[in-house]
Amino acid sequence: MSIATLPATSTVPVGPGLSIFEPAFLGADESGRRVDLSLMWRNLLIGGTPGSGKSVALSNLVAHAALSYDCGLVLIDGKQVELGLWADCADVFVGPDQGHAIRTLQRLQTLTDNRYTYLRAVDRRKITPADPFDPILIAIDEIAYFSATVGDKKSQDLFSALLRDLVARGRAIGLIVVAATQRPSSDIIPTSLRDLFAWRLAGYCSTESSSDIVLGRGWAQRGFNAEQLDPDNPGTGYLVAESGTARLVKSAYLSDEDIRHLASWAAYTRRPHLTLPA
Amino acid sequence: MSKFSLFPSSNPGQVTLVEAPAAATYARKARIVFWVVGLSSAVIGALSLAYTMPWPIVGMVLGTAAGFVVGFVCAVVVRIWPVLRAVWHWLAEICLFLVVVVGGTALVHTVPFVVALAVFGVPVAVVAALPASRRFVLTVFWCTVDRHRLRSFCARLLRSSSAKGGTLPLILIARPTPSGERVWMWLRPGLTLADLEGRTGALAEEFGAHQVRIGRASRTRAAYVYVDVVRRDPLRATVLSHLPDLVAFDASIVPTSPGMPPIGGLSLHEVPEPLPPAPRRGGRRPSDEEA
Ligand SMILES: Nc1ncnc2c1ncn2[C@@H]1O[C@H](COP(=O)(O)OP(=O)(O)OP(=O)(O)O)[C@@H](O)[C@H]1O
Ligand SMILES: [Mg+2]
Repeated sequence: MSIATLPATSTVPVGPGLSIFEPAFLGADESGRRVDLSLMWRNLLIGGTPGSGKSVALSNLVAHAALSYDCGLVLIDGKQVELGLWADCADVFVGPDQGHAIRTLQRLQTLTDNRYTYLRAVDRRKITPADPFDPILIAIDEIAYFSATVGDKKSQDLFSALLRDLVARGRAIGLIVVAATQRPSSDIIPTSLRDLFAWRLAGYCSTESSSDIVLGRGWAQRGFNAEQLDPDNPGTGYLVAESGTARLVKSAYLSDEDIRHLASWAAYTRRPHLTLPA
Repeated sequence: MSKFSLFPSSNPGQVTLVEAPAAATYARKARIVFWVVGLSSAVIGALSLAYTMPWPIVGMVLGTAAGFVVGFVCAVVVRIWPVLRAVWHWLAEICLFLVVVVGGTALVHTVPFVVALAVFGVPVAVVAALPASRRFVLTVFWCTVDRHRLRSFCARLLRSSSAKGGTLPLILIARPTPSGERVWMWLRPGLTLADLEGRTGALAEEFGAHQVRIGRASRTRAAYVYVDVVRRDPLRATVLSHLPDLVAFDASIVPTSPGMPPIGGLSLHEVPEPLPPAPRRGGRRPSDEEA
């Protein structure tokens, strides 16, 4: 797709003025209230069987980041199409190419070091909206593809190690990792990586233990068991986020049309200030 | 005090197996409360009235008496606590009973029978006819049923081996939610949230519900828990995002692709089987297959 086909309009598109420091819209909860996730300083892990609505939930968060004037986007998608619609407004888009994914994570690692050096120089521990650089949302769909499917053991481990470093150190300097995978068990991603994700969203799971793997031990015992969700109602899931409690949510549905529309808008408003050259 | 007894043999608030010891416990507790509260409030009352009233002696006597009255009231509350709990538990039914029976009798005695029938019948018919009010009455009905079932579940759990000898939790109010009902309760010593965890399946059967979720209702008070009874799925409808409304739609900025992109290998017969791996290592292996 190319932006060169854009007509020369006389009007300048005005962004909706969202900010990544504000909560992102995810969907609605059982009582019909809207569910907003404050993504800044957080990492989110999304799990569930194929077709449970992980990518739809992810695209809601990507949409918020894309429409925010102060957020970079790095999209890594083993399936291309889920996040591919957003490729034009992303700083980096990685398709099913493990080498590219690893190189991108290595760039982000260097960025982490540079930003910490900056923070050290200005004697602070956390970035603020006033800093001269933007937070970056790193959305990864189908982690399993990169960490357990393609490539050899060495590159898979390298990918997992780089991602773990990103999740572990990226928080304070505004690197937000939102990752989706079907079953984040230890053969897919290391437990040490999984346990770093503070926030969890579990779509329908086929067993109780899968549900506990996504949400964390003990939730199924209290009745928060994603196995009991309705597989015919994709998009519903248990969210463990603010205040450490779980609740049932349904993510909003963005159709392909909506996403194309939002993505081209975001691409249009973003072009002038690309932060990472592709 | 120890002679004081209401419903001594069939106390609805008590677990049958531990009835006699429990009654004795409440009597002993009541005696202790009478003396502790009575004496301390008597001293406080006597001192304060002695200093503030014109005649110190009268003030002292009055203060002492008032203190013991306070002690007595507290002791009575403690003594009849199981009854109070039962009354609290059946409050909705008791109120309904009072309105229907007492109100009905009074009405029949004051107005002609037909009018009395109309006074009761018309609201019932209207409530039953309107779907919204019928639903409302049904949800209230389920709320009261849930509280009883939760109580009997806890009582049975306390009689079972794991949590033997604990105190029944105080079942607080129940409220309808879009998915069913939510009951709050205050756990008392002996029964913990951990005892209920892992029994959500059994609870769901007890409630005749789809599923039950439990959790702490307060971050600071561990004893305050909620029980969510799920009877239906309110999240059936598609949730729409407001984000597309934030940007004005302009078809001209959506890039159009020139046509069908030239991508081959879309059917299985167009994709060749990968070549078998080279027999020896070190040799040049066939790289990308050409589609
Ligand atoms: N919130 C939602 N509201 C309505 N429909 C939804 C919702 N979420 C998902 N769906 C439906 O479910 C389908 C599958 O969703 P999605 O692609 O997000 O699943 P997934 O979990 O990412 O699956 P996979 O693991 O195969 O990638 C969607 O195409 C859509 O039709
Ligand atoms: Mg997906």
